[in-house]
Amino acid sequence: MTRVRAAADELAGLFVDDRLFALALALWLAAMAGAGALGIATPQARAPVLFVGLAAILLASVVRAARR
Amino acid sequence: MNTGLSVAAPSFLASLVEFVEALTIVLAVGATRGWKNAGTGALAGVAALAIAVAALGPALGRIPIAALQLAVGILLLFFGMRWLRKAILRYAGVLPLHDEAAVYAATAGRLGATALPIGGRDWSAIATSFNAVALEGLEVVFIVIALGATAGALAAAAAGAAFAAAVVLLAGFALRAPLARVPENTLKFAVGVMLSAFGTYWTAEGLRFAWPGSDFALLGLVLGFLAASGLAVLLARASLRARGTGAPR
Repeated sequence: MTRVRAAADELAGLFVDDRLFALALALWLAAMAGAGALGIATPQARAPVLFVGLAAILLASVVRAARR
Repeated sequence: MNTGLSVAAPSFLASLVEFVEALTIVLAVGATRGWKNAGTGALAGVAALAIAVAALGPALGRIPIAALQLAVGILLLFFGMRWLRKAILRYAGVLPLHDEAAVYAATAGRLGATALPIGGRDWSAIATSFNAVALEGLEVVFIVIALGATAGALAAAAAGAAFAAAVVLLAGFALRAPLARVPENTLKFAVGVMLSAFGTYWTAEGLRFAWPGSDFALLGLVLGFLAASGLAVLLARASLRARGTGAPR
């Protein structure tokens, strides 16, 4: 059981390092998926907005880590 | 855009980083506990990865392409942005740079401190070598499948990784020392930018968003992430200076 858990942790570690950063990315993706489902903005506008949000999360997370 | 090259290049660079990290550990095991143990562990790691690929690979073909793009896009996004964030923090001086020579010395010191078994196999050495190859190799497998399967260029992605393996193995065999002069953080930075761009592109495609400029949007995403990362490095250094801890370079 311990080995299975260790393997699962290693696998999760491939994608998640800073939990707050990963949570912010997940929430942004969920919000964009919701916007798509509700038909908010045109499909052509949603893709660039997705990138802008991701870039903003990256900037905020880096600055937060530097300030800690 | 040349899909084969645009997939093979990030696959090669990302695999290069992972193979260098695995080689460092295998070399440390070989130098301290014998090359037979290091080789046994490394081969077992390669075999475990081959079994995983053989088991999971055929299943990918049965997943609808839109679902595959969304799932792989999201995973690639998390994977790439994790790399990019770490590379930015290392460039800015918030985190120390990854030092292959230090990793080599630490592994060799840890293994050298334990007594060699009399007769039989050295399981501690084999396990260390196995873990290094299996874990770093798992990242290579993920990158190859993620880049190759969604773009329909699995052969190009695999070729990029195979070329990286050949380069690292030849260099490691020739030097018998960790490849400490490989600019690992620069490679991670570049690969982080590329994987984040691919992840964003396919996530949006999976969500049925439309990219202005179609495939050429990928180039725009690379430039966009590059600009955002450069700005992030500057902001992080400014934050460090404001705290009075100083920032290198």
